[in-house]
Amino acid sequence: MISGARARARRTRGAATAAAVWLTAALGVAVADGELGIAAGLGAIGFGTLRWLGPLKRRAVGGASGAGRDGPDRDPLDPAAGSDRGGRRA
Amino acid sequence: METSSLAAGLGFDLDFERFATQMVKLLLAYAFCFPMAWDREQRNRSLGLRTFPLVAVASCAFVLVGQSDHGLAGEPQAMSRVLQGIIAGVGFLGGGAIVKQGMTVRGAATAAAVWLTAALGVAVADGELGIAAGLGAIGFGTLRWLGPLKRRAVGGASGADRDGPDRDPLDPAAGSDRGGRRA
Repeated sequence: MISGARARARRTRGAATAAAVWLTAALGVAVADGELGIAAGLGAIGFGTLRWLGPLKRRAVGGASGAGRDGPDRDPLDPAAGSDRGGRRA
Repeated sequence: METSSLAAGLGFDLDFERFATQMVKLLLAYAFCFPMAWDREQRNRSLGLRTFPLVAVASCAFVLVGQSDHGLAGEPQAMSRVLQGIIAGVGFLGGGAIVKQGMTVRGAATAAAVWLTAALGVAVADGELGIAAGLGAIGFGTLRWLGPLKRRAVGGASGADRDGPDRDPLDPAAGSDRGGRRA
């Protein structure tokens, strides 16, 4: 259990957020270039990926251990991070 | 003012056939990288199910925008600068997956896979589906099935002690061949 916690603590966090920032840059460039289709697609795909791949992500690493392993992208210090809804707060 | 003239004034392109083509390309980039993302996620890697598709789709979009009518179409040198930017930018993202622990470096294969994913997105945007499918298949096969061969290469008996730079010895799920897959 402790070794699992150590492994989690050493894992990189925020990679999906970094990739989303990169995607947002592409979205901005698309809008500036008048490519609304690309921009809309990027927005929808990015939102869907960040929003709905969380549960699938936990399924990928095993259902039973999902509660203990929130994934590299989840902040254990964030009080709102305990639920599936991540950063959404009351 | 009509909607179409407003859109034209803003420089927006409302060609729905073009829109559909671009959406299909973005979704193809997403789909081709998904097996690699799934594998990395199963093995408890830092980058996984969300990062890989986002990188592939963003890379694809950068090239699609570059190819647009108001973009860099017909200017190969300008497009090469776009590609340089993508390659360098993804390098930084992949760098986040690499962790140095003592004399051991971990996450190098995941970082390389992110880089490959960017190439996959660029290939889809350029209409090179063969390259994209090949990259997806080769990337997935390498990540999935070269682990056991890797351990055999460094010696069977010591395989438990030296799991390779991409394996986490502190992770209880990393002891088996299946990495992060749990019961």
